Amino acid sequence: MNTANEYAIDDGRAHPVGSATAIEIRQRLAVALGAALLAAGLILVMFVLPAEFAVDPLGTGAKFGLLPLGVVGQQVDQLNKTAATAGAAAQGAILVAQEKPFQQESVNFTLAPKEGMEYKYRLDKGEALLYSWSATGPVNYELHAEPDGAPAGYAQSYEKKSASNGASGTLTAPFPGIHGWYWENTTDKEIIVTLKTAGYYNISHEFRNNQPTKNKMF
Amino acid sequence: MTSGLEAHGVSGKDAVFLMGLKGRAIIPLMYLGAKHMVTGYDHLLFLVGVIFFLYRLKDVVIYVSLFTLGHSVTLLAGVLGGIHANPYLIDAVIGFSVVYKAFENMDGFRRFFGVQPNTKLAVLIFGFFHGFGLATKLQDFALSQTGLVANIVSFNVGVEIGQCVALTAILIGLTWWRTRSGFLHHAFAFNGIVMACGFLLVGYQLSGYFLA
Repeated sequence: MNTANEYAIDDGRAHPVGSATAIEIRQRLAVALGAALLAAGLILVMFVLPAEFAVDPLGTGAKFGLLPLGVVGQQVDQLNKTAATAGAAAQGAILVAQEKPFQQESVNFTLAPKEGMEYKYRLDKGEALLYSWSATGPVNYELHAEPDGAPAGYAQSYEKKSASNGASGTLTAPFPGIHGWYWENTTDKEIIVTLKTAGYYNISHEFRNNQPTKNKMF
Repeated sequence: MTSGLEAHGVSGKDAVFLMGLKGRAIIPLMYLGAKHMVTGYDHLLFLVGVIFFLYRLKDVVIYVSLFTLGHSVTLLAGVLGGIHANPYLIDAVIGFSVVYKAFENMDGFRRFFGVQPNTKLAVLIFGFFHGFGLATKLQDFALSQTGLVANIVSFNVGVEIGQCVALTAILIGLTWWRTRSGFLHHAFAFNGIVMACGFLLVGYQLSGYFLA
């Protein structure tokens, strides 16, 4: 066995030399090949499949706590797909009748230097929100949504910009959930964001770091 | 909207940047190309396999040039010609290229089949697939038509810069390792591990193809 470990180098490869017979060398290679396949297969089935695709044939994913990783991943993929198709479908509707009471508001948010905050409305699928906001200084923002039943921390992003002074538009919710803005003040001065909206919402949420969520009923 | 982007190599933030891009962005795309190469374990594993037994700098230059030629051709042709391939299948072939190279390094072809397929040709052909892999990743984004050629070429240049950085690091490591007495003893086992990683990449990508 030891002799099979002796190698000579020629034209860029190492060849085992010495008294090892050709058959012994082939056996060694076959063992290495089999071991490589087996190791790869085991890692795939035990860890990668549960963590990436929520497939857990041996139960190892559940045992090591990897399965939730895959389940959340699959959920996120699914949400992304439905959001894309629902968004396209919503664009087709010219008129959507609404029975809920009409609401409008104009609110000011004060962003301390380096502070970020979120303001979101609960909207049903297909419900529209008319909005216009402006800021007294440049802010980074992301218009996004958290679908109902989505894993914690999941967000569907609609628009993301840096150093903006405002934006206006109409949002049609592709799924039920909370929809709204994240604003971030990266400057050293206080910035005031003024948001005007109209729609059929009945509750909004204001999120700030280290503060309880402020809920507003309409 | 960002379905499947994260799974294929360009991270979420970068994807958002690429989607919003209008017109030329030479340096950012070079950076993304370099980042993709340096953090792309499939490309790195293949490169390790390719230069593992190359002792002369001249050989390193020849083989790496062939790899570069291969992946540049398909990267440019794939994106500019709009050739669409399934990213999972392409990445499975890239995983297989790692297996192939490790098997070659273990002298498997000569031992089992009595012949050694042309090593330079193999690097060139697998280079084509690595380039296709890069192309499918860029094609996931609705890249703006304005400045497309400049942007793709910049990405390609970035890939080569990243490859130089990665190669330098790999060569330093290999050169040091070769001076150790155990190098040839461990070379066989090391290539076996590289091969296992290649098999794992193949399995991972095929699972993605059938399950995702």
